[in-house]
Amino acid sequence: MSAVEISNIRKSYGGVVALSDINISIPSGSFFTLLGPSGCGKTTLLRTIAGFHQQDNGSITVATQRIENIPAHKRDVGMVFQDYAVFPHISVSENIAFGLKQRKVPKNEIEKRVSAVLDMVQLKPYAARMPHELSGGQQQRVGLARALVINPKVLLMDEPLSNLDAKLRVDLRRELRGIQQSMNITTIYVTHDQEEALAMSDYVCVMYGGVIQQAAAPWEVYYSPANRFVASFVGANNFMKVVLTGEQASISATKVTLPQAAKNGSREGIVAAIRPERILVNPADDKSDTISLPVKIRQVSFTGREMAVAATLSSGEEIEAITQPTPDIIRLRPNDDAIFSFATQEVQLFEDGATGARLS
Amino acid sequence: MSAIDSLPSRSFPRLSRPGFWTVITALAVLLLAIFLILPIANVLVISFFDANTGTFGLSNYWQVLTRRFYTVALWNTIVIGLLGMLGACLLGIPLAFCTSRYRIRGRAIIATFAVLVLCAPPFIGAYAWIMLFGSNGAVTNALKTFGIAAPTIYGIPGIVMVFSLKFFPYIFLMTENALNTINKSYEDAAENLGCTAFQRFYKVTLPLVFPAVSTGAIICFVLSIADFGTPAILGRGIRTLSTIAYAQYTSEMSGTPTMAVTVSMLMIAISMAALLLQRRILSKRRYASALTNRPVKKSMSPLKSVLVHSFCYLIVFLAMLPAFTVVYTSFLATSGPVFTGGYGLGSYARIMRDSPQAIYNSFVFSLAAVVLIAIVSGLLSFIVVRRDNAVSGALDLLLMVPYLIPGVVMAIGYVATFRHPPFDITGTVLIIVILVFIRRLPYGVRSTTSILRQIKPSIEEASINLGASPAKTFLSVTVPLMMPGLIIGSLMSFITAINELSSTLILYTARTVTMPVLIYVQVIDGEFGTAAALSTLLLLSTGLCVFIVFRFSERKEAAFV
Ligand SMILES: Nc1ncnc2c1ncn2[C@@H]1O[C@H](COP(=O)(O)OP(=O)(O)OP(=O)(O)O)[C@@H](O)[C@H]1O
Ligand SMILES: [Mg+2]
Repeated sequence: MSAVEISNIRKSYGGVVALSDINISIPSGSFFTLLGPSGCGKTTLLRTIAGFHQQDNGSITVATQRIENIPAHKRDVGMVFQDYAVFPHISVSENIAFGLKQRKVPKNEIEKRVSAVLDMVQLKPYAARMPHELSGGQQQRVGLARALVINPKVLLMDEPLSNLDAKLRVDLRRELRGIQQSMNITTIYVTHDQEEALAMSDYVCVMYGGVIQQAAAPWEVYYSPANRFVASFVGANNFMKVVLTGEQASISATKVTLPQAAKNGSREGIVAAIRPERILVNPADDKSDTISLPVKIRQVSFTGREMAVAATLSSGEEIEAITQPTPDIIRLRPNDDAIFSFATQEVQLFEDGATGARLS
Repeated sequence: MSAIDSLPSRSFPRLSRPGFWTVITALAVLLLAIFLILPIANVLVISFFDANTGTFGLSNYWQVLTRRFYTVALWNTIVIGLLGMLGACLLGIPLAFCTSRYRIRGRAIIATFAVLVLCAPPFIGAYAWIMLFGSNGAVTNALKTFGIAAPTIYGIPGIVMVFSLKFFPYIFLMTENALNTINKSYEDAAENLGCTAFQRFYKVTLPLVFPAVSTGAIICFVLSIADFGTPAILGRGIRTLSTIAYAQYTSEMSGTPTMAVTVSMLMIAISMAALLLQRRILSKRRYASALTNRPVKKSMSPLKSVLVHSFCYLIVFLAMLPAFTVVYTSFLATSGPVFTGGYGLGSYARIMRDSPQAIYNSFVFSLAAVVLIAIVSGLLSFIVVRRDNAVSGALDLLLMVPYLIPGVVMAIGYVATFRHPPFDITGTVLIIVILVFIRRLPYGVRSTTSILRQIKPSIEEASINLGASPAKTFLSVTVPLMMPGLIIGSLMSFITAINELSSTLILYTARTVTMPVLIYVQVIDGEFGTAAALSTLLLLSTGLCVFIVFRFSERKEAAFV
């Protein structure tokens, strides 16, 4: 049984449709991330679950209980806010005890639970401090502790780390994931940082334009994107137009052999996608079942671990490869001619258009 | 596995119990409808029924706009309003320019005096000037011994002078604030483009502070035409709309105050027209800019410094002169209304003996009104700021209305509305408290609204999310965070409430007399000693509140405008 079932949720602001027919089911104890570009409706969905927005239509079930019409303060879903929202007028421990007091938990039990959760988020020494005496990261720990201590049925987090600096963000996301796993608490997490999403989640749910594009395990979303939007949004990708003349397909005027699926999707036109790290630059030997395309180098940049080689296909389309830094590649200069090649089975085909369907 | 599932859609009934804020909003609408809209609507309706025949029509307005008795008053009112406004600008703008562009020693003192002038009871100015320059005034008599005739303080020039000195702080404080927040780069750019210092002021600086100046000016205008005490005391035969509205009201006491009401509507119309005009002019000018390059204060050559300092201090000294005079007078020995020479606490002894009721009433009524204001403005500002719907927008607009309605008019509306049993509350404490509450509510709401806008809504959402109901959240999270604004708002409404004259003068009875009313009556009777003692008491409480606001508010004097 899923911990959270969201069915047919629809929400619009005046004329703007923010969520259209959202259906999600989230298994108990899993870390579920909503990922998508700005304005795609992530916050709206999360706030609808928390009860801060009234949906136009649809239902939300948490642990077998329908909650979509329960007032926000009776929903028992914990929430961690992007701007911390720590009550500035009471101390850290009072902040954490706030929810327990609303639930009329006996005093000595409040003390016990607050102290336990303070340990968990490593804030023991700060219990008596006022929020303005804490750093951003510490305040967000208070926010997390405050939401966890009430043992919510589901924990909601809206970009909780986005106001922190890069290093702290990585540390804290490990910690967050650790706590989530040890408490086995169902979590819905919003971010537009795809690395964060892939690193933390059991499931990544990619949204675009108020519609769910794909919800699956991180590697599945990465390796097996459901449509062109997911392929382009999660990780870097190169898209190349496929031209069909009769039975023969070609990319950038180079004849290629593509899977059968290519022939089915000729309505909108077809694009082929290849991940940059799958491209070999000027390979020594020509294996079978590869596609090799002549390119003109635009720019070669060294990023530390690897090289990014940007080039232009003869069709004018741009393409980028990411490879190990070898002397040969470092020597490449703009306007040099080169060959980019990749295995045919690494190519994924999509219908053209922003959310064109996957064909192979 | 795929986490997307398709479930059949089911429809369930929505929650039907209205939420806490819906109930509060409904109550707020009801409150304002009964105690704000209804009296004004009543006044409006009465004005359309002929004073003599009772037929419906515009005959009252026709009278007011054609009979000399009224047209002269209308003309006087507009002239006084415009000249008072002009005078306030002529004092306030240069002063603001000096304090914001030059290093002035004791700028804090100047600002504090300006705020004290603003908060002092308005009628004190009028009668203090009489004590100095009146027919038997100290300065008049002193000059007479040298055979010089002092300029008269009565009539339009006197009224305009009192208004200019009384209301210039609005212009000063608003303009100064605007000048301090102009990005200096604009002025630098003008200089770089070849403007002389004067051209720069005239072509760049002044237009940039125009919104602030015009807002201050409109306040001065509206207050000048609404003020009752000053023209009543200094008028000597000069009628204005507010004095004839009051006179008509007292003479029509037995019947329907038709003509008083018609005159009142005219006053509202003028205020409204002025406000709309200013809004219209302002709507095309919106200058927002980042304050990246703060204006710097220049030091001056010794001669210039002396001149500028004298100018600044002269203005605030003149404006404070009435207050000084009143305090000084209160310590003069008297026998009845006559000053016997020498000093003494006789006047204080007399007010303690003769009018403890008025002192007690003033404090109790004002405190009661302020408690109501604090509670209602806390709730109202939450509705206005946090609830995004048509009703909250309308409430926001409605709260502008009390600024525009002269006290005399509101009071007449109250008498006309609340005199029918079982809702007859005329002559009671309640009617005074409610009227003062409604009239001063906007001060409270403005203060709480501005602080609430700085509190992030996510703080309240966190509380709701943790299980506190909306009402509980408001009490345990919003109110504590709003407290500084609530305190400042309460103090400022207390200041205006305890100094309220124009409306209480119409509503008071022997039991509900207040200090300002008593002072007015005593000034008319020539009892200057006791009036001064009572005024000193008012000044003292006002000054104390100002002091506390200064302590609590980071914005200091800017909080008062
Ligand atoms: N209160 C509102 N009134 C009107 N439209 C709104 C409101 N809140 C959000 N929207 C619109 O709904 C859509 C979804 O907004 P939402 O805040 O859910 O996006 P998001 O995915 O959280 O974006 P971000 O990553 O920038 O936080 C946007 O088009 C937005 O403009
Ligand atoms: Mg968002």
